[in-house]
Amino acid sequence: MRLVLIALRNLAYWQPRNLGAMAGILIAIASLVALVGLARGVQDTLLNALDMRGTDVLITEAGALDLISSIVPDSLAQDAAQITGVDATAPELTRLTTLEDGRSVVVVAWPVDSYPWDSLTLAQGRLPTAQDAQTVVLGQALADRLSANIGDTITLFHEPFEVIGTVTATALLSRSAAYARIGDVQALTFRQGQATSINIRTERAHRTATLQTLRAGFPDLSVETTDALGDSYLFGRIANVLALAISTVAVVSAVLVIFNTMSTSVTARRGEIAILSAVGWNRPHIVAMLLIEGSVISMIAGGLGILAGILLATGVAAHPQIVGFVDPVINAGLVAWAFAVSLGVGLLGTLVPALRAVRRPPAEVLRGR
Amino acid sequence: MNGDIALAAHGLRRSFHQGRVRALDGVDFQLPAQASVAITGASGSGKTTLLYALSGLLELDAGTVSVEGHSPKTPAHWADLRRDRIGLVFQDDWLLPALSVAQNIEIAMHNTHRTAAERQARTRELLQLVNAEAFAERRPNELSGGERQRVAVARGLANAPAILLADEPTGELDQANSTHIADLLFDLQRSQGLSLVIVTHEHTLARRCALQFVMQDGRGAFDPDKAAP
Ligand SMILES: Nc1ncnc2c1ncn2[C@@H]1O[C@H](COP(=O)(O)OP(=O)(O)OP(=O)(O)O)[C@@H](O)[C@H]1O
Ligand SMILES: [Mg+2]
Repeated sequence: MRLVLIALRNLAYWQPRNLGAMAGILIAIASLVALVGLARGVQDTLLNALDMRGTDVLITEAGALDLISSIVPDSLAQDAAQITGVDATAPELTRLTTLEDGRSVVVVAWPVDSYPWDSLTLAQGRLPTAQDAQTVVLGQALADRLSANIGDTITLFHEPFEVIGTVTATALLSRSAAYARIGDVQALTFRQGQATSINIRTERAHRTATLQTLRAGFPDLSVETTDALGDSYLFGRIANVLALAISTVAVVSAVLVIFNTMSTSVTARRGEIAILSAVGWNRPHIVAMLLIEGSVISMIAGGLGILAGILLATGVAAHPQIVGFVDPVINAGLVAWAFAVSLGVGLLGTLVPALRAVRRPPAEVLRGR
Repeated sequence: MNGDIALAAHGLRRSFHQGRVRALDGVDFQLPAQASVAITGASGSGKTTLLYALSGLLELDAGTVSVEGHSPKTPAHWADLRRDRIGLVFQDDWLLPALSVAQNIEIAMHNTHRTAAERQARTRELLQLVNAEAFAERRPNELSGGERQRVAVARGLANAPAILLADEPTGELDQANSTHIADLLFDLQRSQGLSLVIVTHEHTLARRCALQFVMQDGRGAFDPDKAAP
């Protein structure tokens, strides 16, 4: 019998400890994938939405907790447009409001004909014009959620808004938002003349220089590139630190659980190891057999754990309280990393106790059985 | 090889429980090549411990063991000897639970010169020798104690060892099977020149061996009533 066959026979002889080992690894990897995926999703959602808009630089109130709590005069958009290297500007007023179904929705408002509207791809209907009053364009995910069609009326800020279009977007936050004219939203939220941020598109060639000029021009405000935005708000920083902490905890606990699981299952087999030694197996062969078994267990359990983690993260993201705000980021990198953790730690967790077990004189182990 | 020494041990010492139990208390032992030695003695006198020492499975406090004139220094060397030269039959059969009877015998031939087909043929031959063909595909936990013991004997003989160390190989067997296994071992001794060490409580079996080594409280000596080695 080949070594691999013997290892597979041992595995096929299904024992509760194999099942226990697989369950341990599966749970560890599933929570690793789900937690890291969700944490990255929280980090990425906002940045993706801004990125999609073609906005390079954002002017907000310095020291604001988050994008929504910042207040700046909307006239800054005209001031900023004067600066060389600035291609286009648009004031943005972003508000959260509660729909009839009790869930929150993000309402993003820009002036009619300003450049951020270009980033939305119309699925149906049209965008607002200067002649409209209290019209709204819905992200496709939001429209689906509300089963809203063109011509329907929905209530935003306790006022009726006519749905005139639906739009698609790659960023989840953009798909889940509602888009309206800044004038309507300013009036209904008592924020005349105010914006939460000024979107700025710069000329590609002079991006760094333009950023310097803008910073010099608006010394009392926060002037940040959209890439760096995650770090410039307290909530963004909290989200980043939490994401890092959660990922670290997830990885460390997965490592500990897998290591411990595999060690326990090797230790439980000391008797078999001693028998193999007694019939003349040398140590490298015994260790190799255990490593084959360990790698099969960790690969199967790791693979299933990754699937379970994806399902778990998707399920959590679909929770009614947060649906539309978090898109779990589970990419090939995370999958490969989780698989490597499972296999690497599974092998290490097998190797260490295996080397210890083969060093024990068989007589001691055989007698103790 | 007649006249040579298959196994020689000098001054074997091993104690347990911080020295309170002296399982081996200065044992000298010799197995002439192609001879048969019965090891007898009361329960707890150190017989099993001696077999473990003679096969390199035990860490010794003192003493040396040499196999066919060589003193193995490393665990790897001992493992090679157990694969190629020394067959072992344990007091408890020590079969692997995940493998069938046939596979349990086959694993002893792992990493030998034999091809897969030769290993299978040899396994069938061994199963026949110990009357175990009927349950070749069963798992150890589906066998009686006596059936397991026969499988253990077959595994001990798998690589046609020069030396067989058997710890109560007939302890669990009925009269007919006991005689059959004993006949098998002595046949091999005569026809193949197998050197035989059998630990046993059975007088009939002990009497069939050319020599008798008596253990008592961790010490041992050849019975002078039988011819000295
Ligand atoms: N690993 C061990 N740990 C502690 N005590 C041990 C160990 N191995 C052997 N002993 C003790 O050493 C003594 C000799 O044991 P051994 O198994 O060699 O006896 P034995 O002659 O084979 O007995 P039996 O006929 O009952 O099989 C006993 O007192 C036993 O309890
Ligand atoms: Mg014994």
